Amino acid sequence: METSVKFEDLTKEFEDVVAVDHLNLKIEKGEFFALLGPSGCGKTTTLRLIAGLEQPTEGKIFLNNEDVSSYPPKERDVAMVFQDYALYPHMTISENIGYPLKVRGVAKEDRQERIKEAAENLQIGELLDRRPSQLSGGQQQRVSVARALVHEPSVFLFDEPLSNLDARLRIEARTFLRHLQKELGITTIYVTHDQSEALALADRIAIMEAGQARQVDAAQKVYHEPADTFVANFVGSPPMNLLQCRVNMEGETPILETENNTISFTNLENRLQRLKERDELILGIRPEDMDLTLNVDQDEQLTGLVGEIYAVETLGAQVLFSVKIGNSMIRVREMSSEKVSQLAVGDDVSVEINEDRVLYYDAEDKALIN
Amino acid sequence: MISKKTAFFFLLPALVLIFIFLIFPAFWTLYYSLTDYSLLGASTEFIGVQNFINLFTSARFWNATILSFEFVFFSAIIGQAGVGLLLAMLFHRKSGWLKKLVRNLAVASWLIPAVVVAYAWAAFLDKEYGLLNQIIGIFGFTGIDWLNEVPMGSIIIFNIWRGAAFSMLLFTSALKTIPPSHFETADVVGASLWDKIKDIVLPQLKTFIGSDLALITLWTFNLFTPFLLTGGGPGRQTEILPIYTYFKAFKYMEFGLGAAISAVILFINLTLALVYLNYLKAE
Repeated sequence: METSVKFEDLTKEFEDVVAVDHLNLKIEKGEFFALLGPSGCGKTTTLRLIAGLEQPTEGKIFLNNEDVSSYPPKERDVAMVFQDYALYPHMTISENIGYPLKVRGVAKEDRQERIKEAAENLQIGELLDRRPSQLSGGQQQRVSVARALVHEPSVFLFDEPLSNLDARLRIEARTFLRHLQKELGITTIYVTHDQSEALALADRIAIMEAGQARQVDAAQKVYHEPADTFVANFVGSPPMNLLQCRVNMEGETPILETENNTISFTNLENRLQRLKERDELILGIRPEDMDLTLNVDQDEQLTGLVGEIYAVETLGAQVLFSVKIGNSMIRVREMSSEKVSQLAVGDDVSVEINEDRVLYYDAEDKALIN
Repeated sequence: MISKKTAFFFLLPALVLIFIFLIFPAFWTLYYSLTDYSLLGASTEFIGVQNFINLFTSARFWNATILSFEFVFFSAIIGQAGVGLLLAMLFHRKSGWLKKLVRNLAVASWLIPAVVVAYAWAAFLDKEYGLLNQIIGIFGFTGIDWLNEVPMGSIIIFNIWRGAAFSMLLFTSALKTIPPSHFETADVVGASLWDKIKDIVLPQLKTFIGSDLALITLWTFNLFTPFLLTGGGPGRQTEILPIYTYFKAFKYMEFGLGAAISAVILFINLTLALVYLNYLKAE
């Protein structure tokens, strides 16, 4: 695969903050790549560095194998879509879409043709004579994408383009963007703080924190095998449960001791080779990889995780339980069923864990143990 | 809720002052413009529109009127507003010592009393000892007598220097009302500074520009300070309307005629103000 965008030790410092910290990344041609992270993680600064709106303090940016680090924005052949769409209120939709062409001195007839083409691509052909204020948020968003599209850039840059839309429109626009990007095959870099958006749209995701990429992987992999506890905690809604525990040997059988419970996994021995050296671990378990059972007999000696239901939230087809175990809270997501609907706040439950899906993280460096 | 009566009571002191110092003198002036009131003459007679007839048939009056319009157009509309907008644009979205320096210097030039500024400029432009000619001398050119050879140019530059700060400050704030993404979109597609002024700033700041032009036009129209630089001369080359009024009223003591010129200035100002207000209303 051909490389479209590459960073080498890309660093950006503002007065006393390091926004981007020696970032190394390769983005392939035609890829839909998301930069995901909490606010202040450096994702937007990274995007602005690619556009040339900021100058790197250190490091290099390559576009199509050319070092563009010192190029002004217009020589980079990129197009950017902003969160607020940045449509010019005094221009018609047609003039807005055609603005990049006008600045670049494209002849008027040629311009009209390309505006029409871009507008039809975005299904806004009938809006060309209106002004931005006469359009809905979703339509304005399409206009801003059309304006980015019109001069056929080699890279598309999106800065949270969907966050000003309401929930229903956002999903519609998301599907549309994904479809359009695959159809056009233009390399796309997409900044968002919304993990579900990144998972839905991107081929690959870089999860950023404090100016560094914590994990760069395919969306599926980011979700199922978060590289460290930060990613585990950031991706997924609700996020992965993280349980601190201690490894104890009971003869040949390893036992995991949490705050006030013990867990024994049947296949833990197979994994023990990797786990043996450590006596402290963090277990990562997705809410959907656990099951709740009501404890009917109070006197029975229970093994495994035992706790009390703290809250029940209905999520349509699923129900989210928060279970208080000692001082920690665990979230369990169940498909709603008759059995589940009987569980209520205050019930004593035991939590069964789908062992095969458990991830083990080092308690020291918080990294995934493979 | 304050009743209308109470509200009026609160407004009263200001209204009284406005009436005494602004409205009453204006009407007093209008009354005098219809008399031959003079400190030299014995009695004051009501002479109707005779002063205005004298004015409109006087070449000196027309000279002053044309000079005033020239002065307003070049020093205020083109100069102050243009330079102010350009400075505001150049430093927009930027920070650093240069911005602070220019900004502070511009504001200082606006805050220093006009008389001080005028004398500083007279010193700066002096033929023999002026700084400008000294600088020109360094590069091997011979300086000229600025205030005598390019008097109109001199007072125009003086007024631009003096007043650009106001427009700069106004436009600096106004530019902040345009979302940064509008400029960044233009940057990414490669728009030049002129493109940005023409395509983003002028259309989006119409109302701010209108207010700015209204204010500086009126201020400049009434400006008397150029007198301190050129005294209206040489000859009558810089005798703008306020200076002409001064000569008539206070040098020749023809208060009636002076009042008539003031009335004309008032009329021009009111017309310009109405034009601007109408424009702002339409926007």
